[in-house]
Amino acid sequence: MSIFGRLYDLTWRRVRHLGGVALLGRAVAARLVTPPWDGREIIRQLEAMGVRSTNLAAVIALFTGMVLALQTAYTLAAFGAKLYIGEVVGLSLIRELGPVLTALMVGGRVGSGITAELGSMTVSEQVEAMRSLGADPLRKLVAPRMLALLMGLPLLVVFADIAGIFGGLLISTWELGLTPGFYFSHVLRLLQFGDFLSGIGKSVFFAFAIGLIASYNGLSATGGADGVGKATTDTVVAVAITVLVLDFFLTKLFLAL
Amino acid sequence: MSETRPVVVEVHELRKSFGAHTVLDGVSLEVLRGETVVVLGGSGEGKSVFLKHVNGLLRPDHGSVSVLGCNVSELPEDEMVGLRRRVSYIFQQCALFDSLTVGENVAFPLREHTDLGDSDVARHVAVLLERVGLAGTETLAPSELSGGMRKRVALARGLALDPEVILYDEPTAGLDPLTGLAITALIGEVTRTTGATSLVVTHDIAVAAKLADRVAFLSSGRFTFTGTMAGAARQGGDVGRFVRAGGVYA
Ligand SMILES: Nc1ncnc2c1ncn2[C@@H]1O[C@H](COP(=O)(O)OP(=O)(O)OP(=O)(O)O)[C@@H](O)[C@H]1O
Ligand SMILES: [Mg+2]
Repeated sequence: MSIFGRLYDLTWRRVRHLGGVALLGRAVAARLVTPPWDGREIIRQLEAMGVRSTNLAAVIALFTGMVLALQTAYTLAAFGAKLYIGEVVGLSLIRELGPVLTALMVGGRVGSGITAELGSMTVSEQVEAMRSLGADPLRKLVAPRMLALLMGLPLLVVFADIAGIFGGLLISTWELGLTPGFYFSHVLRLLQFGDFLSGIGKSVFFAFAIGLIASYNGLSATGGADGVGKATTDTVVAVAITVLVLDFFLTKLFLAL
Repeated sequence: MSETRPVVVEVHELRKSFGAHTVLDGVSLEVLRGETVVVLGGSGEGKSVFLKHVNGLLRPDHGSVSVLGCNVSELPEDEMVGLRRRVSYIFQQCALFDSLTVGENVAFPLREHTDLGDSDVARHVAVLLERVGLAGTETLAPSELSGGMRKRVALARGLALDPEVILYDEPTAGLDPLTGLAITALIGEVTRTTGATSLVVTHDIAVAAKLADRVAFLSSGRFTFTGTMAGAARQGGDVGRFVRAGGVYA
């Protein structure tokens, strides 16, 4: 095939992909807002993905907060930045790094898990079996995972925010000799409730995107175990890119509001 | 076989391609009430694709599929539920839900489509498992089962709602000959006791010889032969060679 033919092919596949994701998004959204909801399954998923991600989210945020504090203090020392560590750590974590890092981590871990699970169900005909038994796989399989993500990710972000600010506190007091009271008063000085809302708001969009990409890749897996493996890798990459690109547009959007 | 029996499955000029690859190139078939029709064909000829159209799991590019008077090829997915309660599909790989136990697998259609309470469901499940020779296996996980047991559980799940039509995709594939025979016998017994209309897809001549009222031979996207097994064995060409290769009609 000529290079143009290949390029056309690739582009067309991408476009069809996006179309498929969009259609799935609409179908899933319709099931999220209409009963019945399977409460037990949602809690099971929340437990499986949320609770077990907590430690990881906390460790990542803790060290990010510590690094932020260190970098601010040393690289911007000439501007007297040491006194503003609280503001820098608080604002950047809550507005940006908390939601984004948590989404990247959860997207990689939980998203790939969803793809692997749905993918192996797809290639072993379990999804078709469900349809054949008169049940709706989107309602039975995708909706509970999506709802668990939509509830779990924002909670994880709150958790990460707290851990990150605590990380900043550790460095400020141990390394830089500030008092905890001073640090906290600066964390809170510029921070507004809107900053917090914007961070949490972002995480809701991230959760939907992660769930959608992961489910789409799982449900469209073909072949055998290698097909599932490929779909899982695709999810990790696609989620990472989507979270970062989406973050840019959401940031612009929220700043304009 | 009286010709006044109603047509339960009617496939007309069905065509299906995946990309440039044409799998079904205009196949037609009628199955009468209570009849067992076996679709024979080599690996990769499109037998599973054909059967999935009958259950509405795939949509035709051309042609029509109608089952129990419903036009499957045009029914939207959410309106197919009523029909699917009356039609069971036994999948090639069994397709047991591996996050559920054997008992929960068999209970799945009951919970989905009936208002039975827990104890009634449990009683039904026990009866169904006993019918397929697996009494008392409720708490096992699908991963703990042998291939033959998986088939039996899939069959029990498929029988839960007393289907009028049962679609079997390669019921003996991947089983040793003896287990294959036992499963074939079980299918024969199910057909006798339920009177269900059956469409069996297989490349196993022994299965066809035991179960078929009629066979249809799928080759290069078409049914090149439709008739009795004995008739197929007398044919020249691919059909005869395929059927005689099974050893039953040497
Ligand atoms: N969803 C699909 N997308 C693309 N190609 C498909 C799809 N399903 C089936 N095919 C192709 O259609 C052809 C027929 O497949 P099918 O599974 O129906 O064969 P079969 O007769 O059931 O074979 P086997 O005996 O191996 O089960 C194969 O070449 C397969 O690659
Ligand atoms: Mg097949």
